[in-house]
Amino acid sequence: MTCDTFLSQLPALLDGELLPETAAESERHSATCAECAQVQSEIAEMRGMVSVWTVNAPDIAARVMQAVVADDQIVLLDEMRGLRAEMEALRAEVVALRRQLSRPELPRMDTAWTPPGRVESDYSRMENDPWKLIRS
Amino acid sequence: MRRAAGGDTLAFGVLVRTYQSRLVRFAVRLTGDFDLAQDVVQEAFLRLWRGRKSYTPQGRLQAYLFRIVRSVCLDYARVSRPAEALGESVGAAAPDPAHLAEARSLANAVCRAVLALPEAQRAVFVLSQYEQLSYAEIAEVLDCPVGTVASRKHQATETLRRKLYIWRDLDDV
Repeated sequence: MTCDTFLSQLPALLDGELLPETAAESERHSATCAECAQVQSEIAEMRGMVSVWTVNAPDIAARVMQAVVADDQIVLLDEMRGLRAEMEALRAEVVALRRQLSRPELPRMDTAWTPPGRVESDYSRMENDPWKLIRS
Repeated sequence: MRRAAGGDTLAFGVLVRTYQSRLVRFAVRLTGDFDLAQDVVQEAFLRLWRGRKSYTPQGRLQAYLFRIVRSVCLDYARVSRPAEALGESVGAAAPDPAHLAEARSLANAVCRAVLALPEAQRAVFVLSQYEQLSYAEIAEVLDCPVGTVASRKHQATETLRRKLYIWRDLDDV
């Protein structure tokens, strides 16, 4: 094993990530190479130093669950707003349709259309004799 | 998680309490910002909750959570700050109160050195050194080959070895 190979594998060796035979070979190299053994010692010491940095994690479970509940409420409100907008659109359509159906200028099915200004019927020819129309 | 996927908030609360501490510590060491780390973890859990219906168990949930936290950290993308600005995020372990000042100085130096690592190396180093994940687990979190994890760990270790070399004589720490 070369020094370059040993040094590149050194963190994995210290992490216990090497296969047994590779780890054994690395240990043999370290035992015979003073420089690599020195680096191994420095890295092991560095790993001890970095453990000095501790982090006290606070309990954030309550705030997380509050955020989850609030998020669900927002989603529900958005859905309700969407439904309301659909209802308003449908309502507007219904109002427009009703207006169309109630327009007076539209022809009624049970009477004939007579042009304005000319009223021609049997009654206009009558000489105040309603019975004449019937007899005719 | 299956129960949480069905909308069970109690089950999700258990999940939160189980993983919150590890995720906050991970986020602090990635971002260097104590308050931001809490926001990051909260956002990570929110993303998990929002995506619960489409969640399919692939691998370990812990790895999935670490991955979300890292993704949120990258989204927030703050510039790393000097250790002095980190305040309560930099705790120090000392064998006794008399050495606490030295331990705190070293802790600040370690904090600065770790935060100065490139993000990819920092994530590997933090997950390996502080969260005790195996290389295979880290590869699952970062979605990269195990060989890449080993390479990044090597690079990070070498950088920290050189940067913290001057602290080596503090035998009492």
